[in-house]
Amino acid sequence: MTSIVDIDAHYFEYGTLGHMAQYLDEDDPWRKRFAQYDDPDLANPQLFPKSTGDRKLFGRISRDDDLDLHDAEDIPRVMDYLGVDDVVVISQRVLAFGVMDADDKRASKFANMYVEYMIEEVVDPDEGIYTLLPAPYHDPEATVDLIERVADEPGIVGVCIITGGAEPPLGNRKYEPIYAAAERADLPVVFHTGGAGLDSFQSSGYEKFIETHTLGFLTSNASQLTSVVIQGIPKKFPDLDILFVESGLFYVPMLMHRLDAEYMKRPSEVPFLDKRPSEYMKEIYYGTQPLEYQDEQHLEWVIRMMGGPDRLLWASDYPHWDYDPPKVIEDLSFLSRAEKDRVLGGNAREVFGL
Amino acid sequence: MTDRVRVCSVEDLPPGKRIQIDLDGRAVGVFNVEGAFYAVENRCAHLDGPVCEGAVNREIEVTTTDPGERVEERFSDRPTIACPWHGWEYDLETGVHLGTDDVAIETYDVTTEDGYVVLTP
Repeated sequence: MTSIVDIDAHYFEYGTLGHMAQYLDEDDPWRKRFAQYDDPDLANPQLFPKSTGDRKLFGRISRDDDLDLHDAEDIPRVMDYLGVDDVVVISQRVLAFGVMDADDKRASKFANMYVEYMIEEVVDPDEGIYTLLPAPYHDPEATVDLIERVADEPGIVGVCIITGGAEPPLGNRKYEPIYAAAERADLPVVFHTGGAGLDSFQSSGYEKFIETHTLGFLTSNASQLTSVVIQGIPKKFPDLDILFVESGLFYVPMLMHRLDAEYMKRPSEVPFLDKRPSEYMKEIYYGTQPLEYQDEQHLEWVIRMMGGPDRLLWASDYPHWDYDPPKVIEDLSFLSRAEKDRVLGGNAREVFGL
Repeated sequence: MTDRVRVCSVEDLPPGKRIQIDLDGRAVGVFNVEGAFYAVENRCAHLDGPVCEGAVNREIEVTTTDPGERVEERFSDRPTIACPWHGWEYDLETGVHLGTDDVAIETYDVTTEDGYVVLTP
């Protein structure tokens, strides 16, 4: 019997910010700010910027099953719909962290109230409902404090860092205290891209969402994966489990080959690496969503180049427009039953300690 | 092979409406788009999604412009159906995916006879 774990469904804190803000101190001005910005249509973009582009294709995508996922009671319905036994929900709001460049405390305040709220009202390990700590990586010290505070909470099973927009890139030494704290706490770090700011992810002026979504999600994960690997994060924190999610799979072998070629020519730049970048990358885990529509033979080779199915964790990304059901893995004829079971849940149980 | 199937009366399927029928175990959507009838299998080529429950649009065609000028987009007269799950969009008459002609959903001929909508499997 396959036991399925979804490692990425999104919890929409829309219309709940004011409620969540009660987890901040009464005299904390951010408590009032978050409450005031609780209108999802009007004021929120000021606090949580997002890109233009109609994800739902002007009405072409309108699923009857577009279940709400912004309340604790919504989660079991979504789990039932997807057919999963366990779910790791990820904050929707955290996706904008990469483009929050105001030098204030909104990210760390939000992260604190999010984890308090989730622990008190939402996560339920007995029912297979977990979440990730949304790392306010802009402030490593605040992130470390938060990791240490919730390390023993059974409902918090990892640390989520948004790759889209993070500067300096996430292999930079300023973030190392975060990785050290996560390793000490035995919490995996999930690098997850985000759609906020997509319109100017690198060069402003793209016209279509297909351009910005394809390239933005690709380059945000590829650039951060390069930084993390080349700056030696897997080497420096050997007991830290690292995941990269939500950019599909095909970019990973491309990056492996290109980094290896450069590594062979420029080893003096990375004397602290002991082996080819691709070898470190085969120790990293990858979320499968959005799995590319593909020739099965090509996908089989891609997975083989990445180190095999043990590196892969299925994720739905529900309820986002490009979500994947478990069927995308079930339908792959080149995977054995045991391999499918690992991708759909077994690997996640090991990595997240479920 | 099923013989021709009487779907419903023409009055029961006015312009802008659609119905679903069971055709030997296959769900088929029958559409009236501005007086023209179409029928496609309710199974998206992507993940078997309920394509017939999706939005009907017109295919967008572009007018070639001079170099440096913005491409002009406008709706053609060819109706399309988009799967509500992920947006895979097909020509309603041919069933062919708008983006590539090697992906298609099943289509059926539809006519009207004696005041009835008739489908030929």
